Amino acid sequence: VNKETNIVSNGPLAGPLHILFVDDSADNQILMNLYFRDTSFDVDYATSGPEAIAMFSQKKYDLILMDVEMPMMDGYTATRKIRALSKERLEKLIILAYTANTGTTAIQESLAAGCDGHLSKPLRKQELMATIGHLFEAEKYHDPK
Amino acid sequence: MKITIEDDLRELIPGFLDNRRKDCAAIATMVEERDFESIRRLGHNMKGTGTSYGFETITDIGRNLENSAQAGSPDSIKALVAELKDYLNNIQIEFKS
Repeated sequence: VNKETNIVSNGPLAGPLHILFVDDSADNQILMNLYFRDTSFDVDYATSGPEAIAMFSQKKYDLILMDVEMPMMDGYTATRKIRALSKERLEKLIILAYTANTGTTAIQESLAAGCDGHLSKPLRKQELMATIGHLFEAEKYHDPK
Repeated sequence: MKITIEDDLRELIPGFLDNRRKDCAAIATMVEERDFESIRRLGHNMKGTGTSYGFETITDIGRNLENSAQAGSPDSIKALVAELKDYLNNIQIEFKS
């Protein structure tokens, strides 16, 4: 396995990591685009819950970073619907709530909705990459900086 | 007021600060319309992005805007917008690699 371009073999993944980032904030999408730019991850972006569900129904993702507070449909509702689809498809999927609400209630709500964990905004690149590395047992991800 | 920001973020900073200036104008209109929910959402977004871009003060102002909007307090919101404008007009940014 080329460790500079792929998630390595001791994790559950054989190829590039497919990530869906869901957030209605253009500022956060721009930031994530920068964070992920020098990685080998395959990253898609959705700006709403319904868009995320539509994208998930068309493609397999390994990880979803889900904003909680969005117009039209909140992240918890979108997570429940996506989690139901992933169970139907018998796919492994990690969903992390990504929110500026860091209280115990918010964390419990995200877990109840089907999230596997929680990332707090504001989020630094090092923290994000460390979390992804830990979750997928990646020994190394391509980041020349 | 000097702010030090990582060089990686350099290309994003002008756009981010322009968006906050637009927020100031938008909030001024929203206060007149008593649209506190939209103000709360803008404050929430600032709270969630400011520190990521290197501006802890914007996160703090965003948090206070969110709280003031939830409380339906126009005077407090106007004061926070003035604080944000002052901050945006006076920051000097240094980039470190």
